[in-house]
Amino acid sequence: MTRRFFLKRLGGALLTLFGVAVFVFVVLRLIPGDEITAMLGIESGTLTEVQRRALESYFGLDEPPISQFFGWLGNVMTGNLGYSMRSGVSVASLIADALPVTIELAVLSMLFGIVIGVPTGIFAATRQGKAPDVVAQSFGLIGLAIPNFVIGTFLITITASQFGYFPNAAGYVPPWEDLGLNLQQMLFPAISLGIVLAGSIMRTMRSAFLEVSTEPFVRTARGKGLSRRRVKWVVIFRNASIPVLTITGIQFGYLLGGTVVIEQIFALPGLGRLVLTAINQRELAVVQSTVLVIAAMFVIINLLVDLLYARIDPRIEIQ
Amino acid sequence: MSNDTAIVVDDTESDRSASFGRRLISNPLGLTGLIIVGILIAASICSALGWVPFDPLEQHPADRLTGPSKTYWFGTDQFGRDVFSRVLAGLRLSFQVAVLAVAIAATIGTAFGVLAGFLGGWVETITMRVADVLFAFPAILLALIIVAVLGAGWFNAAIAIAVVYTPVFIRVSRGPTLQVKSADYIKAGVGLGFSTPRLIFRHVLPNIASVVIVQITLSLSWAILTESALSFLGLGTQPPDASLGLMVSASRAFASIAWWTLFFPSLAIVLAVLGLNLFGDGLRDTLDPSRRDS
Repeated sequence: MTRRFFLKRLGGALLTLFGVAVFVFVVLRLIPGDEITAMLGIESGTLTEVQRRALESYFGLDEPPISQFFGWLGNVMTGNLGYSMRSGVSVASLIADALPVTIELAVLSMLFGIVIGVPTGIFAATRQGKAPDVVAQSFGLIGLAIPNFVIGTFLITITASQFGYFPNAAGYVPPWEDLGLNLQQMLFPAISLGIVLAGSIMRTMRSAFLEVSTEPFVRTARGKGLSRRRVKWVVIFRNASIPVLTITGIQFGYLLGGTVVIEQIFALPGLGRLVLTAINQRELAVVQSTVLVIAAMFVIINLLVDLLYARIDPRIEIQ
Repeated sequence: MSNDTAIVVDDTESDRSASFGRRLISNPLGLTGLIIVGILIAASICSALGWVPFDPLEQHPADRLTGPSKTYWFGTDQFGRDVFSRVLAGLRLSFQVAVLAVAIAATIGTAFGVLAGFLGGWVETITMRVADVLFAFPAILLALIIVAVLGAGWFNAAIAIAVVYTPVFIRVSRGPTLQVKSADYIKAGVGLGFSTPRLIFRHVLPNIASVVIVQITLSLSWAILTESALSFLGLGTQPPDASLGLMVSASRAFASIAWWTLFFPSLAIVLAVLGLNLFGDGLRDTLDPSRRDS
């Protein structure tokens, strides 16, 4: 990988992140209510002029927006993400608690998607047009059409009410306290999010496998006498995994978004639930910094996928 | 991009549309999608005209949570409202939000995408930077923030979804515009002294239309998914109005004793999304054979 390519991508990502910070800041200023109403609720209406001004200067609300923005950004850079008015806890520690939950959920969902999607995609491609291919493709299409919250709701209804099994009822348990229970709590959320992933990975794997199979270099590999298995797994699979990698990277954004809904259904204290609760409680500081962290994760993942992609396929750099 | 030349079809207009129709019909999956979408649209038109067994908001306290029957085809919910009529009303609302959102996103997104591709320079730089920033948010999260600013409700949900999908149309329309721009007939047009608006409206737009149309179909299905997710979270359509996401959410408390309150709204969402996806895929295969999957 050339240094120039790397720096160009890195610069682009940083510029995007700055844009994200501006966007989040501007949009959240438009939400009715500010830190004062978040702290005092309706009682903020009874504040005297002097009290209100004192609070405004305490929260920095009397400063011009530009300096508020750079003040916030400067704080974020130094790790100070602000404070939650309700709980009195720093946003950084709220995020530190929530982040592992979301990452675990995202990783498990992705694993589920890959473990189901990649083999079925290859299986379907090697039996193109036959019954297994048609069945696999139909499942893929339906998987893409079922919203994650519908899958989650069905799973809860069936297991909780019919079998009396609902591990999430006990409240979230981190993996380092009870790994078994934690994985049981994560299983249904991961399946709910992973099915859509499995569908799109399956479809991408299948079409990439078929496309690579017709390439001249595959014919050459066969012609020079490589075993069937070697052609299938080394020559075709390796080349066909590039688009699968891309789609998996792109889907990470879907995963981060999907966690908002799924964490809500399964009562998992992750980033998505943190944002949603903060929006409902008008906790600007929490929403602002958490959204920035989620977007930053997304941008970094995309950057990594881009770089990994260029490493696997050097032709990318030229484009 | 191995082949940079734009697709130029030189047969006449009527020939082209006739063979287009035939190719679409000969694509079984695309046709299935078209039929599903057609039935669902017909059903939501029935709902709009009031051709449903009950008013979707009418409560029948004596018939709460009764199963599917001759009177209540899909059963009743916790207030004794007819689930069938509510599913149709929810479908109508989903389509309404999706069409509004995608219409806004496609118009604004395509306008900026074409301008960015055709004019280049600072217009392109700024447009693509803004698109990058909007792309840096997971879709649901971006919609969530915008709804938080505008307030919950189906109209605001539509606006939020439009903002989320505008950058998709910017990217999708800019690429082909760049290709078309380098085609000889545009250079000829420039040489003949055609104005920029004329070049864009008469020569660029018709040539990138197929890409945009396919994107519109696929975006409709995402828009329906996003609307139902927002309503599920309580930030889209507000009660007592019927929305599929809201119905799924409300059914959670009763689904174990009244499966129909969960099953039918879910089925409606899945069918709508599946139908639009199939139709979109078929349309893409028909309009652009080079991108066919297998």
